[in-house]
Amino acid sequence: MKPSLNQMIGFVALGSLGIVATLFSIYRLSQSAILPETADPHYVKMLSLTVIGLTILLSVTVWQIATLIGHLRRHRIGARLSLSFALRMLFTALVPVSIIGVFAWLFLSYDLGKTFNSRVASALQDALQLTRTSITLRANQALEQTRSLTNLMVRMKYTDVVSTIEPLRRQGGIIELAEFDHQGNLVAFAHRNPTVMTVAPPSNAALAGVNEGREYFEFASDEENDYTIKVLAKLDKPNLNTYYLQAVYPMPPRFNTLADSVRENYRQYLSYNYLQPHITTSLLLVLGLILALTVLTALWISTIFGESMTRPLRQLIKATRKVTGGDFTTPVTVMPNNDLGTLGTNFNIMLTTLRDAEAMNQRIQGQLTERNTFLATILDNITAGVVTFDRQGCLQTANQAAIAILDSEMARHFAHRPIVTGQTPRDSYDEMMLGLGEHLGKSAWHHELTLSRFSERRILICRGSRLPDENSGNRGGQVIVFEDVTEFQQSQRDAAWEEVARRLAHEIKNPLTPIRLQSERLQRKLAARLETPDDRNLLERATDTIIDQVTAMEQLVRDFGQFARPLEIRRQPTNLNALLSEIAELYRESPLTLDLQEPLPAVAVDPGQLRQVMLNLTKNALEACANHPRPRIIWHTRHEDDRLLVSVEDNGPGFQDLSKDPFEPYVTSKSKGSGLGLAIVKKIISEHQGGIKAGHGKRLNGAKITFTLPIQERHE
Amino acid sequence: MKNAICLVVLFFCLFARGESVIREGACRLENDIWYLSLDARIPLSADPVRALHSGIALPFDYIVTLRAPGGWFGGDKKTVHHRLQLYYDHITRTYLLKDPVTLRERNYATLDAALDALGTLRRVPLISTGLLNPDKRYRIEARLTLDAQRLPVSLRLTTLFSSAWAIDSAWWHCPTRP
Repeated sequence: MKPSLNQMIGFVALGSLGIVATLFSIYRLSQSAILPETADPHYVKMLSLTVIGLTILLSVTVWQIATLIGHLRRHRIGARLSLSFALRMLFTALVPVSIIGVFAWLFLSYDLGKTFNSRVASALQDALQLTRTSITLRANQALEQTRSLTNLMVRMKYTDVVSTIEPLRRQGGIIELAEFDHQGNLVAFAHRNPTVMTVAPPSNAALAGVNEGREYFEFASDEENDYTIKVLAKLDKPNLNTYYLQAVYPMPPRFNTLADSVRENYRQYLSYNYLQPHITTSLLLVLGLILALTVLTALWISTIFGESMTRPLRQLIKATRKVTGGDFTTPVTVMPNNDLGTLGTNFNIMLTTLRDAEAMNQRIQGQLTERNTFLATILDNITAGVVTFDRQGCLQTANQAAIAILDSEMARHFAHRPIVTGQTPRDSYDEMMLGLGEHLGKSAWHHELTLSRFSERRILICRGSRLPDENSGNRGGQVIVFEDVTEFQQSQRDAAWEEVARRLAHEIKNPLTPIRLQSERLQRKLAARLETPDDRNLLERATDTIIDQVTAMEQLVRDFGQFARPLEIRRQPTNLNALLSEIAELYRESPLTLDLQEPLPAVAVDPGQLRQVMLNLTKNALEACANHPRPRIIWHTRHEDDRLLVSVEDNGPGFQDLSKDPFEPYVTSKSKGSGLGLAIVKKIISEHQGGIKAGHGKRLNGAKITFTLPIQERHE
Repeated sequence: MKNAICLVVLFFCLFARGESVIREGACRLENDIWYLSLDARIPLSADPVRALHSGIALPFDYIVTLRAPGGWFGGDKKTVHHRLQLYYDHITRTYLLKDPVTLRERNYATLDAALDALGTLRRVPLISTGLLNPDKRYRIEARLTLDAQRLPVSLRLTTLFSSAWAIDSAWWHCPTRP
């Protein structure tokens, strides 16, 4: 069971208890209030029960309100709706209750006695006065009768008194006739009731009044509560102390009946007059309690109804929030059988529709993602570089091959337009885009481009085309696909050069020896026959020139022969760093710096061939930076994946024109040399299944030659 | 509005109480019956007097308890009520003191005389010794109160909150113990 449901049951149970207790006690109080002159021993208990009931109801209501406020502070779903509903219900209930309460208060406060009581009061006062006059007349008669008895009994002796007192009582129609001495002791008495054994002596006040010479009488009641007149008179017996005569006279029976009626009516009238404001107060108290009960009940019911009536709406709000968050799986349930129920049903139908649409959307998204992944996989695995531009001409994507070929930090180019003519390129990407600038506006094009200003020299074949415009958004730009054909072209050229070298060596080498031999023979045979020294000198210079040129051609043929001839590589496991350190000993006086990564795995190379490579490259580097005031050369080794990288970098002027392959024969910037040094170096490296590239060094800003050597597996 | 103010004033008078004092008294054992005599002073303020003159009978109650200590369940308590009603006769303009048990009435010409008579108990039989536990020592206590429960219902609210109606002596403890 949910906590909120438990709480609701608690609210309902306690509130019902408070209402029942208060209703019961208010009913009892109202019953008492309409009988204002009767006593009710349970009045205070009922009042206490009312207060307890109202307190329970108030506590429950305050608890509910506090809970509601707590929900509002925690921004619980539907709290504001519940509060709004409760306030409206409360307002709806309070307005009529207040109107009824105010008018009931006014009616109860109105004093009806003001209108009707004045004449009644006057009549009752007259009746009372009449009764009083009657009883006073009767009292005067009693006094007169007592005076006569006193005159008669004043000369009686004790024995006469005892014997005549009863006849005198009976004769005078007296209830009680008694004589007391001066000390208040009873001397003799007679009573209408023969069972009465004694009579009460006169009061001190009566005795004092009589002793002062005044006539004394008082009204009293007999055993039947009928009015009587008690008269006390002084008996001044001669030669004796003072005696007192006490006589109790009855009132006529008719008088008693009428007097009782007048007395009771007058008492009731006065009592009502006196109690009237108290009755009003009691009734107002009951009314106030009823109003309090009504208000608290209205508050209680409004909060409970607010909570329960808005539950379906809260459920709907929760469901819509889930839908807003993308959750279409939770339908609304337990809806009432009314318009809200229809709303809930429609919502569930809408939810089903949205769920189907969401499923379809997810399916399409999945397909798109799959296609994108497929495309990305293709792009990442093809060797060609692919870059795309959006319709504004800004770089949008570049695959891994593009990044590898261009060897540039592509991140800074994304979402930017390529540079245009007049701007300074900062990397290979800029160089490429600058070279392709004139083609970018065309719908389809291709162009061969050589990158030589940054990093390594690369020959790219680029193809571009415009992307279709029908897809809105970020499409409608251009795609450029480029391939690095440097090695392909180079290998073709190398093969051609090797063929040229082989033929050259073969065709030229053969006639050189006869030429040399014939030249030496000419010099030897003809020198003796010439007479003049000038002729002999001329012959000697001519034959020497022939021989020198033949010698030079032989060297050239040997070089070509070496270039064209397959090398004999004697591989052996070699510590490359140790080999380089050994070679570096030859350049102790040179500005050579070793930057060797330790440790490097052993590599299977021909140390002799590799020595020639390093000597050739270092020789070129020394010549390149010979004119530099602080020449520097760095040998650098590095382990990268399954190969070792070796670079020779100098701070000379660098390659002036990398558009031509420096490893091609006869491509040289030097005035001397055969132009085969770098070509042979490349051949040696190629024979080691390595690669070699020429480019611009980033550390010394000069030329940089980098070659790689594959690391052979141990079992090979 | 006047009634509302009256309600509020009455509420603030809740804890105010009048003074009624039992000045002296005595307990006496005669012929195996305990008798009680008391002399109490009963101040009656203007409101009850006005009610009395308006025909409201004022019920008074002498509450006499005989209490034997003994914890929660071992004690013994016996209570004797001696009730009297004081009212005013508008015809004879006298004050009457009525015993609701014996229905005996006595007339008094003045209110003071009636109150004196009301405050004077003479040799009222309380209880026979046969009704008391001989193994326990009882303590006799008495107090005089205006019995508000027997007043008209409409006056109850007033008596509940008004000190003028709170006529209640403190407990008087009898020096003699059964």
